[in-house]
Amino acid sequence: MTIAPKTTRKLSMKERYSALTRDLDWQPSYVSEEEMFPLTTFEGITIHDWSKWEDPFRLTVDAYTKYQAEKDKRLYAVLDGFAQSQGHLSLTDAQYLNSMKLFLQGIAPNEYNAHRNFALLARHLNGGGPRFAALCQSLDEMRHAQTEIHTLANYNKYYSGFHSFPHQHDRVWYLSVPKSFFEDALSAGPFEWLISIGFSFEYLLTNLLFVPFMSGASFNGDLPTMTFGFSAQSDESRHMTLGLEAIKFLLEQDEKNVPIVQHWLNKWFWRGYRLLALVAQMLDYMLPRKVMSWKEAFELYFEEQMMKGLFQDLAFYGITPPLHVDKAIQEKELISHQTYWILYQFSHAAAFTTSVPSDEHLDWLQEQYPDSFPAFRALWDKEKRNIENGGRHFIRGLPMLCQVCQIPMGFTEADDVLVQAQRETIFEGERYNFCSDGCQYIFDHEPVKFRQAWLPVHQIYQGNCGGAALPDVLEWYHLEPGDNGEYLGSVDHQNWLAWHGETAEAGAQA
Amino acid sequence: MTLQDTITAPEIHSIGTYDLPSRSAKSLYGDDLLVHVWWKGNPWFVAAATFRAPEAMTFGDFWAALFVPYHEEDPDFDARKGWDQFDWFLAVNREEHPVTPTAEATLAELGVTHKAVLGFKDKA
Repeated sequence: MTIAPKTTRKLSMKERYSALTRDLDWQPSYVSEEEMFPLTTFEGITIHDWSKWEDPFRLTVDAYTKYQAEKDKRLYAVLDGFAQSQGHLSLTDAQYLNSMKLFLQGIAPNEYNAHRNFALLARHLNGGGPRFAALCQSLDEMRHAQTEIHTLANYNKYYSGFHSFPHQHDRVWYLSVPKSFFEDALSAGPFEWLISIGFSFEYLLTNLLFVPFMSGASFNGDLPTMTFGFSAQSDESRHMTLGLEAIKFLLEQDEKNVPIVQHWLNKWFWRGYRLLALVAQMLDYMLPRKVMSWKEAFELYFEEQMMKGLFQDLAFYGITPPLHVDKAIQEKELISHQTYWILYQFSHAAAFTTSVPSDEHLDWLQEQYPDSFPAFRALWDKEKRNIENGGRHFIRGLPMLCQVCQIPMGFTEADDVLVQAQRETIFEGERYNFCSDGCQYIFDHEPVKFRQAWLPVHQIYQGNCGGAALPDVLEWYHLEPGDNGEYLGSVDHQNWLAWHGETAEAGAQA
Repeated sequence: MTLQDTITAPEIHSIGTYDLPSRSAKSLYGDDLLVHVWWKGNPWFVAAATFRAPEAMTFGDFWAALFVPYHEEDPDFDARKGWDQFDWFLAVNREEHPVTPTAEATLAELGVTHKAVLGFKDKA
């Protein structure tokens, strides 16, 4: 008797997806679940049923890699074309690249950090669905780090400030802000990571980070960065979905999780918001051709979309808007001006350049911030007089830093915009200083964690940063001539003028 | 001088013992301290300045060696008017605890402790 061979049954898409993702999951038989997943209990989160957490990626690895490879091909074709056609000469101005230096130094290394920790979650979450989602996001984040670096590498051939970004990320004072933000999240448990990065950063605040940078690229002739932005956009939307899925899953699993999640939201909203001070100043001050003001971006992407949308939905679970959100709303009038004023005065120790805004730029700021900008315009007018008298203002000393966000303490009281806020806590006999109620709240809940903060100013005074004198520190930062200080007359400025057949005088007048 | 704690230690959630020391502790600076000097109400300086100074440094020396060279960066500051042109205080959150500097008084005698905020403002 001849037995006909079995025909291969073709799996449906859903079955195939399940077979290629969930079939890697199993129930342990000779170790307990706690031994197999030791990281998901100590934070106090209670999970009753991991299967309720769906994977928003809904892709198999082969489909995922094929899809991403197609996107990479398109991106790298643009990078090649831009490089071969000397596309950098069509940027609005070399000053624009200061925003990209900040992005490369501050964000790209943290994409890699995100890759590392999502890879950890891909091993350590109990559920098969969330583990696979974490694996996909881990791959996304690695790809983003690589494509961001490759996208901006072409500028390193022609412009200052791009050459040592991983080294500088670990050492330079203003980069301790994004570095410490991510390392705070990396050293937390897996659930706090999901709320800090997965939800607060990727969902709550991501539009305030990525849209300004990528729109800024689009408006200023930076085709490669814009293309990278489009390439990452579909990934980001999945990351947002994962973040939202994560918070809803935790809130639905047990009522005891609600106050824990609420505290993490309070903390990470403020941590993320303070980090975005760097984006705020970039949007208002570093883009030669403006996209929108920080205030407009904050109103659209945070007040409209999050306060009037997301938090209304989360109220169903007993979640309220984060503490100190009212302060952030008040600060939308101030934070970009205060942050750029900080960077302007300390750019002699930074891997980017700054300059006094032109009169046209100051007029634009006045239009955008009619109530708050006059006080800052008075500062710029004073600085112009200072320059006319031969003294461009670089601060000769070191600033007081916030113990939590690590930004120089330049943010003011809500009821007095001329008075910088001062807060302090004494813990185990030592004083710690903060820029705001939000940062003090964070410290007061985790003093043992935040007292370890590696504050650049304190470390310089301990002799841990190359030496006691500024040149020693700048050498330790790997700053090279042209990387830092005033833009007008800088290496980048002079090159830009030469490439465009202009004189330094004409450039200065423009 | 031991400072009085303003918070109690909260519960720590961790996978092991978690009790790491401060990276800015007074002991890391020997006989010196870090002092934050804050010109209240003057946004020209983006933030208070942080100096490392001996606890035993007199205010007169502190003024001449550290304070003036830094604050001269503001074109409206006139060092010749001396420190009496300002009201001085130690800032604790939003409170001001008045301080009366004299040339001979040391920072420690003025009540300046590690990471204290020594504030000053234009006389009303």
